[in-house]
Amino acid sequence: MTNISRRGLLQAAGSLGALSSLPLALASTEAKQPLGHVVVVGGGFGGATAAKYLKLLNPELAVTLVEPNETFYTCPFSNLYLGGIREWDQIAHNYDELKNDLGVQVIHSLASAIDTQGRQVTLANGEQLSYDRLVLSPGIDMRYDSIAGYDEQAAQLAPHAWQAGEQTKILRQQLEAMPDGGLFVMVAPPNPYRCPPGPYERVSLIAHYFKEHKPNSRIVILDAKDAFSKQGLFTDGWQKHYPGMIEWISLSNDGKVVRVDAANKEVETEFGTIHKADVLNVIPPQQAGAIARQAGLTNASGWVPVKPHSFEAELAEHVYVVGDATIAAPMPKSGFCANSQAKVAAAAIVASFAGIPAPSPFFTNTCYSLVAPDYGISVAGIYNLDAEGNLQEVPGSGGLSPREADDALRRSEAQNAHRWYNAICQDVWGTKA
Amino acid sequence: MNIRPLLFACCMAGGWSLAGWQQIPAIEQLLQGTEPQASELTLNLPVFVEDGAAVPVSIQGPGWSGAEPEDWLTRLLLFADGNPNAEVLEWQLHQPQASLDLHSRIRIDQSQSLWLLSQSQTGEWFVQQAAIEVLASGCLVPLDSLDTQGMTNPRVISRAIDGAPGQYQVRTLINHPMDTGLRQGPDGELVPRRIVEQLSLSLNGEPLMDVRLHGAVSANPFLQMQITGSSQDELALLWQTSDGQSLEFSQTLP
Repeated sequence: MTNISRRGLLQAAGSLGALSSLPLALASTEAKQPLGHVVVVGGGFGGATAAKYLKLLNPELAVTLVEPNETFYTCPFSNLYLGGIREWDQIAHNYDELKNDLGVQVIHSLASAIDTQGRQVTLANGEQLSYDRLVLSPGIDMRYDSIAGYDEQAAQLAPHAWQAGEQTKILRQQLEAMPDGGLFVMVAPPNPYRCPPGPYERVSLIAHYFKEHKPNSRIVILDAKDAFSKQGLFTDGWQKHYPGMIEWISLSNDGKVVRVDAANKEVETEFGTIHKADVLNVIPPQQAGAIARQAGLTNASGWVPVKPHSFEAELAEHVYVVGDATIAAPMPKSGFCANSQAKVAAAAIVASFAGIPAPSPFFTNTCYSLVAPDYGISVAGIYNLDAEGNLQEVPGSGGLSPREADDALRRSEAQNAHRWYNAICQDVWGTKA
Repeated sequence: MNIRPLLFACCMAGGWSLAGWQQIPAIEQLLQGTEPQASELTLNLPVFVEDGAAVPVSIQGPGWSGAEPEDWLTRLLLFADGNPNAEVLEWQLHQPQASLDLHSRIRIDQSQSLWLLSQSQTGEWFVQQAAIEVLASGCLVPLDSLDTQGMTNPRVISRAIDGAPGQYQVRTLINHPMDTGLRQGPDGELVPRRIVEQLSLSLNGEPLMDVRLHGAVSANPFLQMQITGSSQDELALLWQTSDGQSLEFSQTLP
């Protein structure tokens, strides 16, 4: 393979972000010394995509994926599980495609330390991995104790459910156990946080569950913000489907929670109002996943600054960070963005091994939200680099669902949400819907 | 020239190309040629925000600039060098405070530096700087929903600060659109400037602090401060707007 054709391929990877039409084997099948070793930490939307596309772009690379769980549950569509629209195993994905079809070595352990100077990853099982390039897709951690009284123990009683898994199940069990006429209180986080429309989709689908099973129940959102993603579309949908059920209390109307008493399911706002819930969902302020902080990749904000051209970390060489942990605004913290960024990082890594410049990237994102099973809304964006090399939303691109729309459009957007989920999960994990 | 090392450190740390306070006419006018010293106060801002509509800002540090009784700080002024108008907030202290802990939420429409000028009773000036990056998030679409008329819902909570006898935290918020005069209404016309201009605090009838607000303070102005007081003291608050409205509120310290 010549440099020219590889360059063309990389250009395609970086700019289209869609490689499904490419042949799987691009290089000679003869056994060779690997071109280099790339370790990928984290098997979510960003990490699994990076591992896959590194192998697709250059099978001569040795790629190791480190992910503690054998089954990965997605945050996207976990709200559908909470609303009773999807079963638990319908948001589950595994690493069979990476292991069996793509030749990625998958190690189910936790990366406990990274030495960016010595290019070593230490695993919780004691193993040490050396790398030529590292991709980190560490996701988020909660900032425990940024709200007084809310720590890991409190999260067992008042779940955040903002990392899909046990937390999501706790919240669903509590909703199922709640009597009709109960009060569900959500504490919504300040920006920046994972999945900007997520809290409001969650409220919508819990309202759907209440409407079907516990119609006298109420929902209060206590928000640390004065505005939120797709706000007009959400509030229109709430008015149509759940009139009178959902109350949103903004920052400027004393919505900011400063203290949580998880045992009593009580919260106190900054002006001393006490709200007592039957089910309490506290989504606290967030930061980059612990391993990014341990590796010294975060700045004072708690998030990881990256070079937008390649998603290489600003604070270490040969390390690429993608997904929610990064500072990538105007791109939101979404699974789709992590997937898009991972393809750009994979292309940049393959280019660096080939000794050629990384292709000029652009990125896409769509956030579908369900307000009800047949009522979907969306926001889409396309992103590239401006003249100074900073990330920007391509002027005139993307946009929101219209405020005025008939039921057919909302229904078709709801169907598209499912199609989007099935397509991206097939892209990332090879899951066949 | 005490300011040099400070500015140098900021430039190195943040990679910012700083316009010094010398470039800000409002600060030049205030200082009248006086050279400020580096301030001991800290000016806290997020490193970056995705939404510049309500950026938390706080100022902490000693209420004195030196060892002498007359060295207490009487004025603090906050400027934003990238906003249409540089003035943000001004605090006038009428009584010495052991320690300062001032909070607000402000509007920042682009990446820029904030400057804190403080003055002691002896007339000496001090300066502090902090940088902030504004990275608008594509998922956040600003709403044009501030249609409230005048001031409503004054909220005040005061509480004794644990481990600091005689020190109280006072937190306030009042609903008001804080129209800067720069915003277009739905009809395309500029919405006239109409802001809360001042919050005055007094304790047992004695003036304690005046806070002067400019258009860069967020809608529904939030102000929090630490004050020296005693249980059962009578705290009175008075908000005044640019169009002549006023609203009073009083509370007994717990």
